[in-house]
Amino acid sequence: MIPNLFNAIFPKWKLQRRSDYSRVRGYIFKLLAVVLALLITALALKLAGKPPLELAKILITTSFTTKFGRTQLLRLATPLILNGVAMLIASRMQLFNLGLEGQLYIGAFAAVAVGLHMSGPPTLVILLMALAAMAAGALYALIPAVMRIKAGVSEILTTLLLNPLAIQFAAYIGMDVWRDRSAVGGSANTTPSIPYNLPTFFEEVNLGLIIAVVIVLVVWLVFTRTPWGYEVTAGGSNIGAAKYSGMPVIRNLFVVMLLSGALSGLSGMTQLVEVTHRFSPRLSNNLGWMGVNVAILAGGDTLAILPWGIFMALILFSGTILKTQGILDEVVLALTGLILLLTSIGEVLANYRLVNMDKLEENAMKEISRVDIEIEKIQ
Amino acid sequence: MLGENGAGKTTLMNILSGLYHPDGGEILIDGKQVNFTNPQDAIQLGIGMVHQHFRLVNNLTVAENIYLGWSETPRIISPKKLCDAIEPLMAESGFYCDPNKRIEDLSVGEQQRVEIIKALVRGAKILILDEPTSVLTPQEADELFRNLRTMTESGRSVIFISHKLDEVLSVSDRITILRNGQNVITLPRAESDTRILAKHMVGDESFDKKFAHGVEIGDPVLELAGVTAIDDHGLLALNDIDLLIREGELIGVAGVSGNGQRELAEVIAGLRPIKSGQLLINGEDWTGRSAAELAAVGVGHIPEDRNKTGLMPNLPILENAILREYRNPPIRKGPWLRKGPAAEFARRLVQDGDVRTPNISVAVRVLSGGNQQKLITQREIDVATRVLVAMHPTRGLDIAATEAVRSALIRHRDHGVAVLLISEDLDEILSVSDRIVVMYEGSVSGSFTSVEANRDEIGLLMGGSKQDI
Repeated sequence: MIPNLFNAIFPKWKLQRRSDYSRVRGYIFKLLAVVLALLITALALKLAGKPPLELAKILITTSFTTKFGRTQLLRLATPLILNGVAMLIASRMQLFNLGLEGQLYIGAFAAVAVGLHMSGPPTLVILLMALAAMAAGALYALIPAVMRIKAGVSEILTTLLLNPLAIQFAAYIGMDVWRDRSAVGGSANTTPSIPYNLPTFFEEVNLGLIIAVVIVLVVWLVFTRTPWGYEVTAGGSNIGAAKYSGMPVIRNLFVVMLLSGALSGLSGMTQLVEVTHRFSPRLSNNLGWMGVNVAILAGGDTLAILPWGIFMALILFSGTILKTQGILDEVVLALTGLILLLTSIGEVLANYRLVNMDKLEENAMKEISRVDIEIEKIQ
Repeated sequence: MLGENGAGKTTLMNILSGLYHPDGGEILIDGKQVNFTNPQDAIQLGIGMVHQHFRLVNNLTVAENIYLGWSETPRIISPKKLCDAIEPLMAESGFYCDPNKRIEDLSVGEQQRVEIIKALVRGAKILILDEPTSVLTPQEADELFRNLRTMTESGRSVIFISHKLDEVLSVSDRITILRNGQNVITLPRAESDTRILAKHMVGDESFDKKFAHGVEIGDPVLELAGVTAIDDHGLLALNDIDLLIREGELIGVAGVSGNGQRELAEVIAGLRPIKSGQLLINGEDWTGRSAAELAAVGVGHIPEDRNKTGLMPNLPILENAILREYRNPPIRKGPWLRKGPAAEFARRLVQDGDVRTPNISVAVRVLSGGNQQKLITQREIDVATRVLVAMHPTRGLDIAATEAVRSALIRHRDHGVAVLLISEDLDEILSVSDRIVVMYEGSVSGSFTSVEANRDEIGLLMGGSKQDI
């Protein structure tokens, strides 16, 4: 598509597909796309009468030089990384889990249920909360998994449709069943606060982030260095070949989908315990969706989830900061969309090179005369 | 028109049908120079093209497909009238296909007929058929040849493209051979035979090797006793099959495709459940085991379709090479898959199988069909310490690759492995098999030793005639 369009606009130039694929070139094009998206946003801000450079300065100083900024950034990164890797695991077998947002809520619900209604040593309760969240997320992902694997219903639709259901369920729980009846104002529409916190390290790094990073590393190791990881890669690449080799394809499909749901559920738990402490339909604010974006940006590369997760956190965090400068944080959504659009184009373009048709012809003529001369020599 | 894979046949025909533009040279029709800028121009000038992979819309009817993208098509018309309108045109063209049927409900042969009708009703005087027989059963191919005759008798010209020598010899008046994008020679049929054609096609005399038998035939290895199995649609595909293959024996399975050959291969490879009967390997019962278990006991399987089942085209050679071996040491060690031994294994397969590739990290899809098949063959030979099932292992390959795959099978047989070769190419079966069985409607309809094998009789059995014993 893109090459055809290009040829129509610039007939003198041609986009020629490269025969080799280079990972580094892919990264460079992606980075260029991000820079371009930032420049476009800056231009839009400038046109709207806001000083982009100053805003960028505020953004960077708050995010990186203040303790508050760094803590916020890393807290935001936790669910983004977890959901990013959740998306990536399923997509390894060509399953598109667009239900991360819903699984996150269901996970958080299970966590809050344990947190509010169980008593015991905090470490034990927190552990149980995490396990309950993972189990609940996995169970919620089981519904589309069964429908897809047993009946062939597209998981893209079913996972998508289960999201609003989970969020409405969260509204029902937070605003009615377990509503904090002692509270007034904003928190009157949520559950009571749970009295648990995850420990932080070096005063800034939360435990959730460490867990998320460890999970990414483990997933990378599993995918690249274990027979099961190979089976998943093979099954995702060609399910016919995987079956032919005798791999348990159906079982693996279930496992990746449940793992994906479990990690998303876990991100609901970390969000609950580290950020909101209360369960309501405002718990996530699209973190699951942003996780989908992270996975798309990482493009199937497990370790790339980490930098892209932190990058997305920075973008989301900049929304909060822009708000303090009197700019709507919807700008951030536009910027996210722009980044996704441009990086996708960049990914395709990385496989092409630009050739001048005149030069091409010139070179061909040169080659022909060179061959002619050689033939003459031989004769 | 004859030529190996990649000789330039399809490119040349795509130029004639207006899909590609020539960089130089001229095209003359009826002595006049013509220029095409798109397929419409070619159709206007009476050139009709039937592509190897059909250009049909599966969920539209025959009539709708014929009228699709044709200037004569009325703007508004009911499906009924469309069918009525197409009937006389079909009658005129001499070909018929029920216009109400959907393409997806037609057999491949019928779909091809729709493509031919499509070209003829648009007024094609010159019909180009790009490897038309590669998708057909032998019967369908014979019917096609008869139809081509009718067409030429009615004054039309046909360009028939193939890389099968016999077909070209049996159907053509004149034969042009392409090699490496050049017209090597054009011969009248009377002056050509298989040997001459093959020589020009491959450029040397490396053809028609005879496969002498190497080792003594030993003990029974694979035994099917009264095996029955059903196909994907729940219909009986294998009906009480008895088959015995011994060490160092190569059995060829002849038959028109769709008579249970695929199910037979799948049953032996553990990919299809056995409904009744037994699968014995070296006398032990292996009925109902999985593909992985059968591979572990030494059953290799070269599947029918290399892109859909044999390989993962988008993954590198390394991942494709270890598809069967990843469960075993040294590639697997404890919970780990070790890259070093995996790469070593892949390099060995590439070397032993003579797979031409720059390295083992290129995606398999960039390899030629022949090299892909050599990779699969070597991989399965490595698995097959006892039994090797090869289904259409040389289909779509050029002569050099065909020879490589065949001699690999023969060599493996000579190492004492029981080989089952399933093929539609009767010449292939006759030239390599020690024993030949014929399958018809899920049963073994006949069995011959290579000495007593008789083409006509096998042909009759393939067509369902009873064997008189």
